[in-house]
Parts: sequence; C-alpha cells; structure tokens
Amino acid sequence: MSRNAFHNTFVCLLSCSRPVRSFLRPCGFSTSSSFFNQEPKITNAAQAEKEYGVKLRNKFLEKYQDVVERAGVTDPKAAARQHERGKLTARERLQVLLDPGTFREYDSLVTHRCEQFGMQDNRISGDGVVTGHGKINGRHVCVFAQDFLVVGGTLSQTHAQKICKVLDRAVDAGVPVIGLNDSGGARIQEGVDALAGYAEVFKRNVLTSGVVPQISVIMGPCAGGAVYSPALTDFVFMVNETSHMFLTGPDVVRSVTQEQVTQEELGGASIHTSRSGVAHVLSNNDIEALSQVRTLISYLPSSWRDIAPTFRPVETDSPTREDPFLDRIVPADPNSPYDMHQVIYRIVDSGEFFEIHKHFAPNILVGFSRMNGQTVGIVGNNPASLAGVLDINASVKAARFVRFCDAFSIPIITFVDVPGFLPGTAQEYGGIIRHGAKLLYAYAEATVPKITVITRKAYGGAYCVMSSKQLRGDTNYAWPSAEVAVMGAKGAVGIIFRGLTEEQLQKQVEDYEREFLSPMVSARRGYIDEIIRPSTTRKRICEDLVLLANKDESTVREATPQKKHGNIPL
Amino acid sequence: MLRFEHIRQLSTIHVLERSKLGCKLGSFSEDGVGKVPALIGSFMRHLTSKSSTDASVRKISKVLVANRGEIAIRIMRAAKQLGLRTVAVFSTADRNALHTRYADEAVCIGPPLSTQSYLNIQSILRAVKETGADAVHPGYGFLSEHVDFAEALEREGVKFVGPNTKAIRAMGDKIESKRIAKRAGVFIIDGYIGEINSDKQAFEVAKEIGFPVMVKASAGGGGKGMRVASNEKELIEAFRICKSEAESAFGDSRLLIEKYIVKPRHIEIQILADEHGNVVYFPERECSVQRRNQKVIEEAPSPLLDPVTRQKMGEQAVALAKEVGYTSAGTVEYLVSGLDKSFHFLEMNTRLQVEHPITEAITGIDLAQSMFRIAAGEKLHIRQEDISIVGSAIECRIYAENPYSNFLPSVGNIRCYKEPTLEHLKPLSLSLGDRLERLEHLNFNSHGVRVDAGVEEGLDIPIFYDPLISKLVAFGENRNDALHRMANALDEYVIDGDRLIHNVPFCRAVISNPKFISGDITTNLIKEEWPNGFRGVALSKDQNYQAISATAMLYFRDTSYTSAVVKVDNHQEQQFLVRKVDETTLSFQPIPLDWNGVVPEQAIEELVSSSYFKTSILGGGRVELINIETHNKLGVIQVKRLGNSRLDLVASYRVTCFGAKFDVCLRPAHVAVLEKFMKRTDAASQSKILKAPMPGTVRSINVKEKDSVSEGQEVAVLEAMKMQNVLRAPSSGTVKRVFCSQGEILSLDQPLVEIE
Repeated sequence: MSRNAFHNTFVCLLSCSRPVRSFLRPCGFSTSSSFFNQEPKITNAAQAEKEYGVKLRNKFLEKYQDVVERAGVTDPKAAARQHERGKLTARERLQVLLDPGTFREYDSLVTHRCEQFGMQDNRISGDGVVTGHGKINGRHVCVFAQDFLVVGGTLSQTHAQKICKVLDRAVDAGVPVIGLNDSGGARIQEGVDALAGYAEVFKRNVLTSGVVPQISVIMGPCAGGAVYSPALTDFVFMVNETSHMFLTGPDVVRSVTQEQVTQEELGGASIHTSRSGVAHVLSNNDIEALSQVRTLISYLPSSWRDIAPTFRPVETDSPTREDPFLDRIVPADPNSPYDMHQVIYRIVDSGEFFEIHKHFAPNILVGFSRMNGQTVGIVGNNPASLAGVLDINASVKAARFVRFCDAFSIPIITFVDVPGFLPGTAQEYGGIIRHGAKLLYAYAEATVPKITVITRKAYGGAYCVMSSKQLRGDTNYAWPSAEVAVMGAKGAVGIIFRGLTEEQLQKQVEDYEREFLSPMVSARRGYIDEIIRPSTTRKRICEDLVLLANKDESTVREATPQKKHGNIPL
Repeated sequence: MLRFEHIRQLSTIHVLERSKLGCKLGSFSEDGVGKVPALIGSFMRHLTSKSSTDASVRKISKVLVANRGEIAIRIMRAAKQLGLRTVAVFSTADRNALHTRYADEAVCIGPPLSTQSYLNIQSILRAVKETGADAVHPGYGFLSEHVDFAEALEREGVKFVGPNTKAIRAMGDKIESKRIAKRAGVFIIDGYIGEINSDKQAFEVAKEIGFPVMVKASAGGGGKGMRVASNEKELIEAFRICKSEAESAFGDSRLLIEKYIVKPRHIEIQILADEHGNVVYFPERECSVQRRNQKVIEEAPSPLLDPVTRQKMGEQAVALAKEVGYTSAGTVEYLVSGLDKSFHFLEMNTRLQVEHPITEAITGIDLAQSMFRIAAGEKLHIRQEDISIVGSAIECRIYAENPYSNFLPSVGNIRCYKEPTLEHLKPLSLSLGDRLERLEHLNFNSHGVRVDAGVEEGLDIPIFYDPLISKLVAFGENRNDALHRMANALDEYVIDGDRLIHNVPFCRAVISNPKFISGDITTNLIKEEWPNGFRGVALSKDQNYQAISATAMLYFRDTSYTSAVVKVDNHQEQQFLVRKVDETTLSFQPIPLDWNGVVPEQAIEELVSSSYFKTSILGGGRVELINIETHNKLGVIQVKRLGNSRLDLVASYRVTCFGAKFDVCLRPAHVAVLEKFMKRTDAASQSKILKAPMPGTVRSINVKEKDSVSEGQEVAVLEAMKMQNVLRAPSSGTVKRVFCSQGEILSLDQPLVEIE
C-alpha cells in the first residue's frame, strides 16, 4: 500500500467519531436509568455470545454458568479496596483509556496451572491480567491491564502468555500496544515458570521495539525483574504516589547497604521522572495518566510502516501565521536566559506541545507537536535551565527521542541554543564523551526530515551534535541572533593571542566577535541555508515539511553502507 | 553587548516592524495619509508665516520625549501628526520597549533604576544634545513637574513643552498655591488654623465656616481624634472627645477646625493657556474612583455637575491660571461635595494628565497636540465657545497589579495581548457628525474604543517603574452607552502572562457596580463597596451558563464528544451534565460532585441556545476569545487551555469573563463517575514555604529558626517597586528554616521561610 493511502486512512479514522456519538446520544434524555446501561459492554464470553446472537448449548451453560458469569467482572468488594488506595480497577482503567464500548477482551477464561502451595484452590478466570484491544480516538490499540485484585496482579506462566499474545497481536495488526502495570511481581508459588514468563515478555518487547509504539503505564508496584518490561518500551508513564519501580525494595536495600530509604524515595514517580529518567511522564492520578496516554497516542503512527495521523489545526491557526513575539524573545543580552517552551508554543499548531521527560534534564526539551496538522518531534536546548548546556542526562534523553522519531518516520525539528557541553570531573568521569556520542550518533543516523533552527548560541562540539548540516540536516536555519563559533570570543582570543595587554586583547575580542558571533560566516559557507526572521519560522518550517514529505528515505539509506546494524556507543 | 551583525539584522527587522506599527497605532501611516499632510501643512504654514511677524514664535522640528511606555507613545503620536521628528529615551530595562521603536530615534540614558535614567537630568540633557532635539516633552510623572529640569532645558535653549518654570514652582508648593488660589478668588476649604482653646471659641469658628465642620487633632492621623459635627451640640461633644483622644493618642491636645466636605468627590478642570495670556477651560473630569489614593477610573463629564457649577469651576480655574501666568496644559483639582456641589480648590497639576483622553473624547480637541502648538508660541487655536460636550467618555487605567491582594504591583512577561475592538457591538452613531472624524483622529476606532498602550506581546513589565499597562478609553453617545462599551471592552481585553496579574477584573466590577452606575459616588467608593478587599465577582446564573457553554462548545469541537460533565472550581456543591442537543443548543443538568452515573429525575435545568458563536485564536493558540450570544445576550469569554493538547480527554480551561476568573474542567460522563475515587491533591499538605510574591529586597526578617508563629503573623517585609509589603505566615507552626537575610534581593518565588 502506498504511503498516501495510509495517510488517508488515518485521517478518516481520527476524524471518525461516530461510535462516541452514537453511544452517548441514544440515552440523551433518559432520566432514571444509569447513564451507562446502554453501553454495549462486552466484557465476558457469555455476554459476547449473547450480543452476537449465538445460543449457548444448555449443557455447557449448566456446567460452566458460574465461571462464565464471573469471568470479566470485578468483584465490587475487591474494587472498593483498590479505590481506597486512590486507584482504579483494571477494567475501570480500560474504560477511561479506550473509546467507550470499543474494548474486546480475550482470554478471560484463562486460569493458571499451579498445583502447589494452595494455589490449586485459588483459580480465578483471567489470572490477574485483562487483555484485549480497543480504540483510542477511533484508532485501534492493543492493551493489557494487570489486575492487582487477583493474586496481587502477580505474573504467572499463563499471565505472561496472555501478555505475549497481545504483543504478538499488536505486531501482526500493526497497532500500538499499551500495558497498564499494577503487579506484585513474579508469582513465587510458580518459581521458575514465572521467571520464564518474564523472559518471554522481555523478548517480545525487544522484538516489538521499533515495529509498533509500546507504552507502559505504571499504576501500582512494579518491582524486581518486572521493571524490565516497561524499561524496554518506548514511553513509561507513572502515577504520583501510587506507583513505584525498583529492582530491590527498601528492605533489601537496608539489609545490604544499611541505607534507610522509603519506597517513594527509592522508586517513586517523582524520582523516576526527574532524577533517574526511567519514566517519561508524571501524572497526578490514574485518570490523568490515561488521558495523557490517549493524547500521546494521537501523535503516533500505528506502526513503523504508517505515518502519524494528520490532525488539522482549527482553521484560524494557519500554517502561514507569523508571530512577531518571536522577534523579541531572544534577549539582547547574550547571557540572559529565555524559555525555549515559548518559542515552541509559538511555532507549532495551536501551541500544543506534548512534552516527554518534562522534569528530567530540563536543559533540553523533547516532545511531540503538530505543524500544519502533521506530527513532528521537537528537540530544543532550553537556555532557561543550566543555560541550555548539554550534559549526560540531556544527551541520553534527546538521543533516545531522536531514535524513536526516526524509527517511526516522525520529522525532527531542532531548536538550537547551546553554549557547549557541561565541563567538570562529574561529567567527564560519568562518561559525557560516551553519552554525548549517543546524541551525535542518533542525529547522524536519522533519515527522517530534519529541520534545524539556531536561535542563539551554537558553540563548539555541541554545534556539530545538534542536527548540524553536516549530520545530514535537511534544512538548517538561523535567526539573526545566532552565534556559531568554536568557542566564546574571550576564550578564543586568549588562545590565539597569548601575552597581549588587556587593551589589545579587548580589540581582538571585538574583531573576533564581529567575525564569528553572527550567523553570517556560516551562511556564506552554506552551513546554514538561510538567515530568517524569527516571526516567519512557522511558515518556513511548514513549507519545508511539505517539500520534504516526499523525501525518500530509502534513497538516503542507500547512501549508507550496507551492514547488519550499527554499533551505537551505548 | 550587542554585536555589529546582530544590530544590523535586528535593525532591519525593526524598520519593518515600525511600518507595521504605524498601521496598528493608526493615525500617521497609510490610512492617515490624507489627513496628516494637511495638518502638518497648516502647522508649518502657521509657524513660518508667523515667524516673520511674531518674535515669540519659535520653530520646533524635533522633539525628545523624556518618558516611557504608553505616554511616550501618545505624545510621539501627536508630534508625528504635526510633522515633528521624534526621539525616545530608554533605560537598559526598556531596550526592547515599544516606545523605542515607535520613535524615529532612540537613545539609551542609563541603567534601569529611574534615578539613574528617566530622572537623570544630566543624562537626558546629553541625549538632547546628541540628537539635536529642539524641544522636550516630559509626559507625566518622572520629570514633568520638576523645576530644575525645566530650568536646565531653558539654559540650553531647548523648549520645555509644558508650563513656564514660574508656574511650576508656584503650583508645586502646597501652601503657596493655596495662597495664590485665594488671591485669584478660587474657593478653598475654609478652616481656622491655629489652636482652639475653648468650646465657645470652637462654636464661633464653626459658625463662621458654616456647619458641618470637622474637628481634628493637629497632630492627628489614622482617623484618631477626628469628629464631624453638624450642629452646636455635636460640636461641643466632638470638641471634648477629640481633645481627650488627641491628648491620649498623640500627647498633644491642640485641635483645629475646618469645613467638612460631605460626600467628597474628586473633580478636576483641564485648562489650556498660551503664551499670549489666553486661557480656556474644558469640561470637568470625575476622578473619584481611587485606590491607595491613586485614580483608577475616570469619566467625563461628571454625572454630578450642572452647567452652572461647571462654568463657575472653569472660570475659577482660568482665573487661577491667569493669576500665576500659566502656560501650556494644566489641571485644577477640586474637592466637590456630592451634597450641594460646593467645590474647593485642592491643587494644580502642571502637566498633561493620565486621564486627558476622556476630555479629548468629549470635546474632540487634541490636548497633546495643543501643547506642542502652545510651545511653538502659537496663539490658542480655540476659543472658549468652541468647546462643547458631545457624548460621554470613561477611562480605566489598566495596571499590572493584584486587585485581590490590596493592589500589590505585579510583574511578568506578557504572553498574550490583544486590545479590544468592540467589533461585535454597533459602531458609533453617524449622528455624531464631524465629531466622528475628530474621534478617529484621536485614535478612537469606529466602535468608540481607544487604547493607549506601551506594551506588546513578549515584553516584560519591568519591576522598576509604575506598572501601568495601558489606558483603556470608551466613548459613547451618552453615559449608559459609554458604560456598556467599557464593560464589553474590558471583557474583550486579553492580557495574559505567567504570574502576571492585572486589574481588568476589578475595573469590570466597578463598571457594573450599581453605585457607580448611578453616578452617586464619593472618593470612598472602593472602601465602601469592597470593605474587606476585592474578592472577585460572583456571576449571575445566566452569565455562568454562558461561560460554561463557551467551554463546552470548544470541548465538543475539539474532541467530538457530544456530552461532558463540567466542573467549575468555584462551585463547591455541584457540577453540570452538559449535552449537545443540536448544533446550537446545549442542555444543562446539575449533578452532585460525587456523581454515581445515574442521571437525576429532575428535568433539564436549562436549555442554552447560542445563536452566535465565534472564536479567534490568540497567543500562539493557547488562548481563544469567544463571542457567544445566548438568550439574546452577547458575551465575550476568554478561554485559556491549560492542558497540552486540544485532544485531552480531561480538558481544563481558565475562563475569564465579566470580571470573574475561574477554572473549568470537562470530561466525558464515563470518566467523571470514576473521579470520586481519585486522591485529591490537598493544597494544605503541600509545603508551607513562604515564597517571595514578587521580586524585591528583604527589608526585614522578623522571625528566626525554631520560633513559633501563628497564622497571619508578620514574618518579613519585602520592598518592591518602592513599596513595602508585609509577608505573613501562611499557617501556624514553628519556623523550620530561614532562607534569606535582611538586604538580600530575591527573585519571584524564591523561598523566604519554611514553617513546619
């Protein structure tokens, strides 16, 4: 199927909201009944058969009625326990995540096979995970939601098999997969079977990586080996205060290292979204997290073969809109900060920017937006934080994001205001060379359309790294305020002219500044394509995206030597 | 440090900007082309023809405006209309400010502090010499009433566009000005200055002044030792009580008596005087709406005055001007009794005032231009009988300040800014005839609104100066019409920025206050109507439904849902199930906050039908301005999206309308029923760290670590914008940490004290 055909399909899908309307409208003015009674809720096999008009054989019903009726239903008493913790049940979560009435469950009758430690008397259909598929804004997704109310949501062999089935289904169908994690970990009664189950899930996470987007939402505990499944996925969401992730819990930590630490301090949502960078999005509660997942999905293509759905901006946010605000945003003093968020808000459609890793390495911004309705990945140094310098965390954060965009054909727009790499032993010992190389590698390797705007500083090695022309940048712009140079004038002159008096130095500094601290030199050499008025940036980028829409990635790939895969400096 | 290339690049941008700006501010570029040359022509012709015969006529060709912000632009607009070249001055904090780009040239006069820039006479003189300006207009504030400045300019042979130094000096002195006023036959507040020893003497004095009188301690203040007496009996009682109060409160029992002004109002008369002894007066301005002794809302004409009083006040103002040999524009301020319209001289302001546009609006005469003409030595081009009142005008001073917290100044970056156009209302009536043309010349649009602003999107409100954002002026055929236009203009005025707080909601509240509408006001209006401070506006049910309708229609447009549960943050007891009945009709049904999904028995509360719904996107798309008409009432609603995306399942908006500001949250019904299980993020459980509400200097820290404090106790004093602000403990507890020390300069939100 051609690219365009895909494109059209998804435009249709997104704009098609009929299921939503038809669900809500019939009960529009019913007064006494529950608002949801009319929802074609198909949560278990029995109802499914009823819905589709297939009569069950009496014999079957006699024998299994009890089981069938209980499958796919959450015990209200158990639900109350979950609610007390401020959490929703697995099925309620799916109700929020998916368009109403679109969820189709599989494997609701699956039970575990453990015969020991009393488990033989405790078989609950579904075995602690709800799996199936549904729709978000009219587009299909595969989902699994661990059910903490069934054996603590622990992972058994069969539980793992259910997850694997969903992952396989997602790959076959070419749709994103979303996992809602709320589990006590491996089911220890099963021993190595559970571990084998984890490994099976991990393998599928790896094989699925780059095929369809994988999203994990941590909505409860996620400890031990279990953490590696989310860690392998593309985006991890965490819910503040109710979710935790760690390899070894506080008790083990205390007995091994004598370190006193709480669950929250060790692996709470705020730690992982700000310090470790394990999680990408922090939400205040279950509903907010799921709402955010829906929003993220709206930006992503269903699989690597597709392109992201187009979402037309409201008519008034025209792709030709000019914004004089941008002409003033870079302060006259080259050392005073400004917030790169503001630049992004003003350039993208309707100021919509879905930020990834908002609280981690805030000196670089990454996230999704749309330009003229088309999804773009945004990377921007943020001078408002650490002067926008590149450090270990910033390099790793941006590198992973750039690779995701490249894997899923999302054009990358880079806003550059970077004074260089952060100096110091902490960074050098931490391997900034190795980590900085990741970002360089990711940019150089990416074959999607790459558009770069230098808003102010682009110094030294950091200039090269940030999607420079030489790293196969498609379009490289500079604002008049841009300064492209090896280093600041003072430092440079100090090296070139040693032993000059203060006055003589000052003159040389001025000469150096005149020569290099402007975009002119780069523009004369063609390293940047044009110096543009900041207010016209949106217009220029929208035009370029149209031009580059037909950039044939295979031609670009052909220019790359044949190999099995490169060796990114991990 | 600006670099060469940098400057070159920027300046090309600015040149382009400037031509655009011209269109925006209206009167001198394309659309004004027809008129302007004629004006310039007449002015120049006038100057040249006179100069041969009249020695006093001097040539002004380039004017430096020694001010900033909106007033600098207002004056430069007048100068440009007269064909003068303009020079702006700016401090380094104003380097990007609009007024620097509006002028033909701009000169930096120093660092941000006004004493080192806008108040620095030497620096401004240098700028005058550098640019070869032959006149200086001081605007208002800063050096406008500064004798030394006017004299220094005189020595340099540069014309000061304002009154002569003699008049400035005389009127600048409170006692001297009263003396001159008395000599000129202007009514002043009668009183007996000197010790009053017995109640008999008191009675005699009171009889002479006339009841009611005010007895007050000469050492008095703060309302202590002050009594009003309206007859002899009360006077004797007041005399005794005041004496003992004064003795105990101030240790000084001396009393004085003066006339008590019942229902005091602040009303002022504008005058224009030329250098040839001609003086005219203009109809009055009512400036009684004041907070912190500063005017907020002014109107002309006053709803109180009749033509006879107006004439008397005007004639006295003219007499005073003649007595002192006044030249240029000036304002005589009176305290007027709302009871009997008796008026008493307060002081004379020897400058163009902030509120001059309302006088311009009702008389059609451009005061700023007139000042230039007078400065050029021209004879007054208007006679007293040329001045007549048409219509009514109201001005609101839009400040960056917090009306909810005693009008504390606010600073910040303006993220979204759009001036009102009132295009949803009817244009001004054609019956106004040639006044329409005058209004257009005075920068009013065809819908009767004028905004004199010195800001634009992306600029900071600096901490160093008066936080005036703009002057919003509405003109109407009559007072009701002007009020109606002003209310709509305030609703349509979008000023938004992170942390930036402004007084538009407060102005809106005053404009719709019944007392203000009735016109029966005093200078105590704000104190009386909002005795516990302004706490925002409570919307009527209709207004509420209108605002919610606007957000619901946005939500339905963006998400394609057709029903939503709407929670409004200031409705503690209920939320609404809003459903789309058809393209223009919504149904409202109140439901409890912890809704269980069962639609209540009761019928639909309200069907809101909007016959008109139009949105425009602002501020890079995060703000939408919505015109909506429901039940034949037009509303202008500002909605700011708080979330990341228009597709958010749970959508939050910040709504600003009719002077109220609140957050609205919309989500589909199947999500809303689950919300009761979510933990509420409790604001109280968050850290109790007292943070700096504004950038400023720590004057004092009144607690130390381990001190116990009670809620509301004074913890620190922060000085910002020349004002001392007392910071109080947000809750009771012990002081865990003190983060700063006296004299330290804090930025916004920097922590001061942590309380445990």
